[in-house]
Amino acid sequence: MQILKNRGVFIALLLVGLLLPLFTDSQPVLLLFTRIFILAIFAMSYDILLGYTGIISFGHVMYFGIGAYSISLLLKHGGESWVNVLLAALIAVILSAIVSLIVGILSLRLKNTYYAMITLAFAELFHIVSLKWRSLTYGEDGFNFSSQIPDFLKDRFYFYYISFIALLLVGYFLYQFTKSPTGKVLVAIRENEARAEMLGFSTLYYKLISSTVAGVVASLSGILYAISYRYVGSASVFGMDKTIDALLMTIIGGVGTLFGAIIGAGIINLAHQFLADLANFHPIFERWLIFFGILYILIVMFFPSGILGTFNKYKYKFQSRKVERDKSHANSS
Amino acid sequence: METLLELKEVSIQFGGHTAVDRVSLQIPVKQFTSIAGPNGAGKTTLFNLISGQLRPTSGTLMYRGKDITLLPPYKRARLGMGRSFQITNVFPHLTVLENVRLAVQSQQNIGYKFFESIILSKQLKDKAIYWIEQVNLSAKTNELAITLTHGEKRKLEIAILLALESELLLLDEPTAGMSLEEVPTIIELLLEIKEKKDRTILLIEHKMDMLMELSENLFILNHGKLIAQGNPQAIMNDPIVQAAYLGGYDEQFA
Repeated sequence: MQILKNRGVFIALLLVGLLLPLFTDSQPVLLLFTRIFILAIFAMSYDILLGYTGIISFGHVMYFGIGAYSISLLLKHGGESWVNVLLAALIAVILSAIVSLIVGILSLRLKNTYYAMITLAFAELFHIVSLKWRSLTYGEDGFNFSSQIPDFLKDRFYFYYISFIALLLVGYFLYQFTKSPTGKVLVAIRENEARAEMLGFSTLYYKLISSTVAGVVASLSGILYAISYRYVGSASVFGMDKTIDALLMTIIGGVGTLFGAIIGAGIINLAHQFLADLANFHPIFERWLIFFGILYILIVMFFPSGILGTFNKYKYKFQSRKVERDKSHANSS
Repeated sequence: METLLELKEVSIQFGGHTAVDRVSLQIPVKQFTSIAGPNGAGKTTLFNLISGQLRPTSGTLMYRGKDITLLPPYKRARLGMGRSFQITNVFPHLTVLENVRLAVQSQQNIGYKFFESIILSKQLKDKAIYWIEQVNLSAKTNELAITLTHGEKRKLEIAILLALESELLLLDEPTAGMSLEEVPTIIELLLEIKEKKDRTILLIEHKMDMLMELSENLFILNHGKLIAQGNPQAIMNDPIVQAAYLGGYDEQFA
């Protein structure tokens, strides 16, 4: 398992995740971390598109929303049952795979900019349907389905661990995917699509795979997100700002690093919480979005490769220098 | 002699400009064939038509007797056509090893595998290392392609092409932009491939001495038209070819 090469980071992450609930029983803290894990899954799915395939999507939130609405509608109308939870997961996976394939077939033959535009259009379509189909979705108000969620999933302590295990599993599968022969071709497409095609790879099929994997994973994060809020509303799960959040989490963590998305999700959600709390000290922090904007600009200016990307760059430089030094030592002796 | 690739009256127009004008030629199997001509003669456009990056306005391309005119580049690559580029066209942020490994992966027709297999990974790596050794680039195996010198990038380009183990190698000025000291390495490499007699090579080149040393057949293009073909020695003595290279072709022969 190559993942164990970054053993230090992996074990630290695992320990923090596993032990945190033992040090705090504060529900808000557990909920904050639960949402960090869920949004990290969403951001990792976005990184498969942006970081590994070089495709930008402005409508990635639609898969997130498909997942969120699948679980909420099934539980709301079907009642509390584990069968409904599993059925919702199945429906979300199938639906998001179909939608990502349709969107991909419509746009990926052309330049990647068309993909960005088509995803934006489809996401808006889903948003509008969820707004207007009031009899089913309760429109803008959304609906609470707290009483239909199985008790096990309602327990914040258990749900924390469910989200954490989901993050570990998705992280592991996506890591394997990026290291697989298919993942290598995706990176080749990001680097030089025309050349990848000249090597004999059907770049369209590979881009469709990337789009589908990203869509399915995003829908799973949508399911967990809806359960964590016990509520679903069109703006909260189909709003454009969720796609922008995924983009920012990926950029801050490091595009094309996969696990950078976890760092990005952590920073954004903690900063969100921290800056909003500072409003108690000074009223200027009521406008915390301004500070958020400044934080983004600073990170993009000073860490264009993101936090993990910058770390990896220095690590690579350090290793290259070490190899050079070893070589010159060997030559001189 | 058996023909591997055949072009029948192939033309391409960009607006009012005819870049390749009714070119018909046959590339014999397992021979070293070259295409020469002055700058702007349409050589690279012809290569783009052969590799599928451009579609002809008219005419047909046949590969082993099969019509490939409408096939996309990846299907042509799958049929056994590998191409190198005049302007180095590698994967810049991947290491030399990763660049060549991709070509090996394509050659081995691995398909859509979603999990890393240690055995397969090692096989691909070993094969890639073999091809990197063949072009004397072993010292740079783990360097990012973007950090290589121009000459090294050209070598990497050839390693990628060799790793594809294509039946037909399309080489677009493989020594373009290289220093004089580096050129002989590439010529030697091409001679080695030629001597093995197991591949068909189609080369675009400007350098006359290189063309004479390597080519068994030579085609001359000028203003998108094929103006001469045959034995390199005879062609170079042809007054039409000399006029095309030294000037005055338009007045004398057009």
